[in-house]
Amino acid sequence: MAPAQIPPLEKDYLIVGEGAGDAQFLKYLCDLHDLQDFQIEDAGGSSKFLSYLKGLSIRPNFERLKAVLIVRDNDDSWEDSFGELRKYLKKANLPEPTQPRQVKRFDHTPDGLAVVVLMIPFTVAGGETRGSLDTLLLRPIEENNAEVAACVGTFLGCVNRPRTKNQVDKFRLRCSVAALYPQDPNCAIQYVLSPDKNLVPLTHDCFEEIVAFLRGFIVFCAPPPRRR
Amino acid sequence: MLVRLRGTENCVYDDARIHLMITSLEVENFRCFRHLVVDGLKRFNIVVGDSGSGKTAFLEAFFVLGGANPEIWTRMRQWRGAGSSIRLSGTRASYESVFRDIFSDHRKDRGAHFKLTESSGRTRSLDIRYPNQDKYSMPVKDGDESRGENAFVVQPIAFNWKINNREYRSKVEYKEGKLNFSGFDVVYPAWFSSPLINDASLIGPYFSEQLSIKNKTEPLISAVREIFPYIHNLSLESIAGEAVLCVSVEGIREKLPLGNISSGLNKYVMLLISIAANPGGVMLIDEFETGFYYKNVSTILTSIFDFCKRHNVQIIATTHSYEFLQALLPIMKREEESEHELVLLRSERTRSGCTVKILGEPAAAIESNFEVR
Repeated sequence: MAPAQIPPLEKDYLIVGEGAGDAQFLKYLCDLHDLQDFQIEDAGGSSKFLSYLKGLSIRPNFERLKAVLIVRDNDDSWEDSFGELRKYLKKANLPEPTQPRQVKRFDHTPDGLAVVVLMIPFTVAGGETRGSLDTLLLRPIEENNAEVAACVGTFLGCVNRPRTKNQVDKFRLRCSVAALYPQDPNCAIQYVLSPDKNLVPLTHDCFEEIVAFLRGFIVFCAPPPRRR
Repeated sequence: MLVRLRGTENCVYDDARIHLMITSLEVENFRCFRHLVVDGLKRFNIVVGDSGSGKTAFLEAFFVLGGANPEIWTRMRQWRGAGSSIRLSGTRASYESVFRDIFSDHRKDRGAHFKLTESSGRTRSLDIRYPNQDKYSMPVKDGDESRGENAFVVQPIAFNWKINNREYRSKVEYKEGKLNFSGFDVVYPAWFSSPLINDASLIGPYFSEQLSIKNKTEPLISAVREIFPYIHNLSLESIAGEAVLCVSVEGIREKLPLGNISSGLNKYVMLLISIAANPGGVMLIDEFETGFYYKNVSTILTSIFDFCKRHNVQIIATTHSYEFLQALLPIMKREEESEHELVLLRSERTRSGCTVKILGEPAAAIESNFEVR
């Protein structure tokens, strides 16, 4: 059977999450805050980002796109992750921002397609921080489930192995989900996020910065007014 | 299913056609194309696009341009559903109704123009138009009092081909209720395969003349057996006085007509024979996927493409099928890594008529499961 297809481009603004979890997270946030101007897709994981971006420009209706927001995890070095994404953008012949949250267009098309990259986690105070979507989700889950968080912390200490910050956060999130959702301890992030499961409170204030960024995105990436 | 451009008995192809390919096509005022330029065609050209966006018209542009007789237009009308007999009333309107669909928005005053360029730089063009001068006459039909369009004398439409700066002029004369076509010999080596065409009788003679009599059937039979291993051999047999391509099938004592086995096998064999019989030519294939079982598509495509390379044949084909594009992915990747001989094109209907454009990075898009059709 042929794999499921990504549907044609139907909106002027496209958000591309690194994986299915990122995309689902952004969909839930947009639904919750009635941000309906975005088509949200996932690139299929970090290893598929390049082919996703290379193929983007031949999709029907690509010409109507005004902006693409690419959302990627910082992992253990936002510079490395962002730098790799820039290389992909270059190979895909797409505009290549030099910083996260910077609007970039081709020089010869000042009102053409805008490309913006949002690296997560991001906090206004802390800037880019190490971690991933898991890091972002961990805080509201642990705040709502302090006992489980304490146990998971103990367990982490007990199985002491060298881990990066990103790996620790993934460990903690996975263990927390296994503890809190016995029906499917291995539940993938895109399903963990479902409001039905009541595991991640999407109204938590730790998501506010991302919501504010999405809310202002269309104005943020609007082309500069033309001189008369 | 398949039809070849035909000239006269002494049909002549353009010289030696070693390593020649069509690299660009220009079309003016034909079917849904007001103005079309496609540059960068390769050995394998796959056209996708919505229904009514001009995919078949794109193939037809190559076919009419490759012809050498205006009669080709009446055949193309039939593929599109027009009847096989043309009955004219003797009026200009009646005469021109045969040709009105050639022109975009039926704008006959502008004429239609086609030009292809080959990798060698050689060109072939075709201009279809009515003469400029209008001759007025009394009504040509008894009782015709309208004196409108019908009061003008029928002006024969002209099909003027130009091949490497040499002109070949042809007109469609109207005499005694019939159209009289005249042409010349220098056809382009093009075959048209379409589910709309049902003319399988051509293929038997080509199998015999180009392959069987020259003891060159082995590659064909190997390619067939790769996908249909129960087929042992192919041969031309006389059935009810007609030469019919037949197959020896494992477990069946007598040979069977090819068409009785499967339409997919029939199409596959026809394509392979026409490729082998058409070295240096171009295959125009409408709805490539039709008739093929989905599990076989990848192997069939690989085999056909390899056959094309061996015989130096170019393919320009259309498809609606996502599975076909998925099956094409390994070939796309192979071509991207090696000879860059495959391009994906998309036809689109716009306010100013249909367009066809070459798409970059098709392998990446298909690999990412994008809808690209």
